[in-house]
Amino acid sequence: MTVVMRAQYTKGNEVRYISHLDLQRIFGRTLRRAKLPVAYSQGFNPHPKLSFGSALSVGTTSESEFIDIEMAELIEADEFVERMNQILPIGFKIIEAVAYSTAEEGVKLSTLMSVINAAEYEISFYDDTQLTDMEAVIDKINQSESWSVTRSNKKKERILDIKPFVYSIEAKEADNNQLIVTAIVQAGSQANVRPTEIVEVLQVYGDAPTKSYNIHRKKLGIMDKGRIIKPFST
Amino acid sequence: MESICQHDILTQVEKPARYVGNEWNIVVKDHEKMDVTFALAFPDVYEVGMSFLGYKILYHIINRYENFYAERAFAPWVDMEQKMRDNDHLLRSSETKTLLKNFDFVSFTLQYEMSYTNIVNMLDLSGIPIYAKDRSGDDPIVLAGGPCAFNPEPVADFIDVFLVGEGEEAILDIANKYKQFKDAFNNKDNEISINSDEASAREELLLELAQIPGVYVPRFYDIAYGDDGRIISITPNRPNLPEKVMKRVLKDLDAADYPEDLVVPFLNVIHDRVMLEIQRGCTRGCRFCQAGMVYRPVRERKKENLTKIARMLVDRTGYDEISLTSLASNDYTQIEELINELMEEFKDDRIGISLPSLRADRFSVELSEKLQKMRKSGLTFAPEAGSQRLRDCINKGVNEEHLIDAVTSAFNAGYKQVKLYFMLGLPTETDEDVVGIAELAEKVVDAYKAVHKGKTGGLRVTVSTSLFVPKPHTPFQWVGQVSKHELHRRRIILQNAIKSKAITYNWHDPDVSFLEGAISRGDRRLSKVIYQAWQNGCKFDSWTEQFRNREWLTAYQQVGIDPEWYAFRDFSFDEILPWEHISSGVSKRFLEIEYQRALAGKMIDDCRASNCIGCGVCQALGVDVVVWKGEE
Repeated sequence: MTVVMRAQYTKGNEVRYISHLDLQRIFGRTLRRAKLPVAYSQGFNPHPKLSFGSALSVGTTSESEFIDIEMAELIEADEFVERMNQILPIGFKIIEAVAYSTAEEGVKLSTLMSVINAAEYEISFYDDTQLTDMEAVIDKINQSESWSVTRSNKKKERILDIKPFVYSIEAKEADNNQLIVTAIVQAGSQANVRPTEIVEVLQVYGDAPTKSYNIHRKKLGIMDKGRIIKPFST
Repeated sequence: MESICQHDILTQVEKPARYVGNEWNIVVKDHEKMDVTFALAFPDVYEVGMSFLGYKILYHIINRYENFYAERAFAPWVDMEQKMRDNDHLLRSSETKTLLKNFDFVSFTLQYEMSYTNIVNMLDLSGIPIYAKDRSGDDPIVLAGGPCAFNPEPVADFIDVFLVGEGEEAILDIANKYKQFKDAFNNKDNEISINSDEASAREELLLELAQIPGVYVPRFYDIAYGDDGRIISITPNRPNLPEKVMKRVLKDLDAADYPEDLVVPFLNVIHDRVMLEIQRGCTRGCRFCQAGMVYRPVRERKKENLTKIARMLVDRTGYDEISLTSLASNDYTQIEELINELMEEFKDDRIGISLPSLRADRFSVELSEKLQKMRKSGLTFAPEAGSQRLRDCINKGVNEEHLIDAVTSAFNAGYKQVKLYFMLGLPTETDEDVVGIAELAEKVVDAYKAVHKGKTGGLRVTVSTSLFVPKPHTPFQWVGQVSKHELHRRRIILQNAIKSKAITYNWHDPDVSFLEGAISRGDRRLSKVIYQAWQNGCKFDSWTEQFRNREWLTAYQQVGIDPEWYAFRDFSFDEILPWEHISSGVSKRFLEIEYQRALAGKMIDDCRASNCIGCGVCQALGVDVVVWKGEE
């Protein structure tokens, strides 16, 4: 029998600069402090069996991150949430968790990496750009055939058209009069659009002003009939 | 818009988590409600500072008091520094992002001579006057302590107050004295006038602090130099100050609090594990070793308490590894029993236990087998010298037979990597001693072959050499370093003597060791050189990619000081040493006798296991060796 606890958590302002690579260690230590029964890998350096959803870039906040934790025994999801939230560093918070057990008939859990395919980002601009201006910017970019951005990894740079992977880009004004651009895009192993690339498109194709901005991941999950649902269904 | 600018900056620097804080177990307090605040400034990056046990101990000792507050601050890496300077940002604390210049004390850990330019840089980045003489009433008191405070002189111009020796009790004495003084000053202020003289108040406060045992305030000591450049006198210029500042020492380490709510870093730091200090001090008596002289006497913590502390630390941090920290951990009297107890305590917790330093002569097969079951990595030994003659001269009680026994048992247990550390340029070293290093490494290879049917597959023996750096308060404090040219010659001899392909030879940058040697035995005049080197762009000198040798040498020239006079010169026995007014409790006479014994190739015993050897520390400080044999 394998038991997996799948949890949605936040990565708040206090911990936004922590890299994806450091998360494994941070969650490992938190689980240890919480004294939760976690399954460990074999070998000389046993480590807790954890896997994460789509990586979040350094500096981005999120209210929708996902982690799978393989447990050594079945525990209630509510208990898990409570115990973790007592002992997680400030800025991290478990919002929801579901326990899956392969002992139950028909339960087969696909990995987060394989099911997650969409994300919603909120990009806030800290300047005096007006809503109507931003709407004009978005109109302008929509008229372009393609949105080419430069994507570089360790080895090389390549030009990529991200337009086919973007579901929508909309501007709105938040309650505090802050201008927010919401982008719904493909995410995950199949195709992945980075929120900074949306900013690049707004600037290059729509002549948006290059000012300070802040990115927040609002949703991460599975695209289902035009909306993003959490990867909790089996 | 400050926070947004900060966000822009943090997205453009390497490892921004270094600057953000918010780690598990940090302490957050309200500055308004505090009587005394300390910014514990570490003159290196976050990952180094958060690996330093003394630094963590002070943080928790101070924060245990509700009216005292200690926060952390680290040297920003060069990319971050550039952004700060471009945007006119000053250095702030990690916990509450308070400007360093708004603390009562900014205290630096003096861990290594080559971090001194970072101290100057951090003061500058904080908007605090770099020279102590330029500070006024509003500025924080700049405090410094740590191993290098045993020769405080090279940084004496920058530091208001030094704390010599162990800080646990002394830091609280300093905080309490400061509070008393502040209370008295504020009361007086109300009675007399609003414009009281802040400069003289600062001076008075420093005088008060100078009364605390272990506290050294350099401005109250005058240094006079003769025509040949040597020191002719060191004299207090105020009444009632000690001629010699005695180090502070904890009589009963076992009774001292141990921080259990250790801050757990998000970043992968250098020593990212529970550091369990099992004892303090080492009386093996290696004649080059400063730590072995200045942290005397040996004081062990009780095994039962250590197990309790370890449990608490693991539960509160979530770490999965415990390092049994001390200068020579397997000298701990009940080391086997302690390891057994810890293994029993944590048998269901997947906790690795490690010994950071292994003596080649006492590493039993049993101990290695035990630890290897839990976690396996390479082994490191430090024979320090290649020949038995030279090892006897430096009083390093390692013999070849025991080293080969130790590595053989390690190879039998499955280890394939051995690191061997040596020094070149030790007093009396000959070419035969240098060749002896290669011969010893070859014998380690032979030991592997003996275990693995004549094969060397998978084996890696790494030989590392560094240049001997004479340290104050050691029997070798009078001895000069060998020249770069001579060092180079010896290094080639060693390289040519190594035959086996399983041996890799590394050496530590001699330019750094030379500059370290000059500062290590330097006097107050070097403050100007350090300042000038910083002006020339030097910082993070212990980081290979940042080290600027030419700028350092230029700084010496600009100031008109010859570094070779400090590094290469043999100081004479009747000379007043730059650290003559600082005492570790070990008598100068003992050090001199030890030096003579070294020249004669005579060894001395460890007083932990045998009779008093007369170093003088227990008598000078009213302390005793504390060991627990399990019969108590």
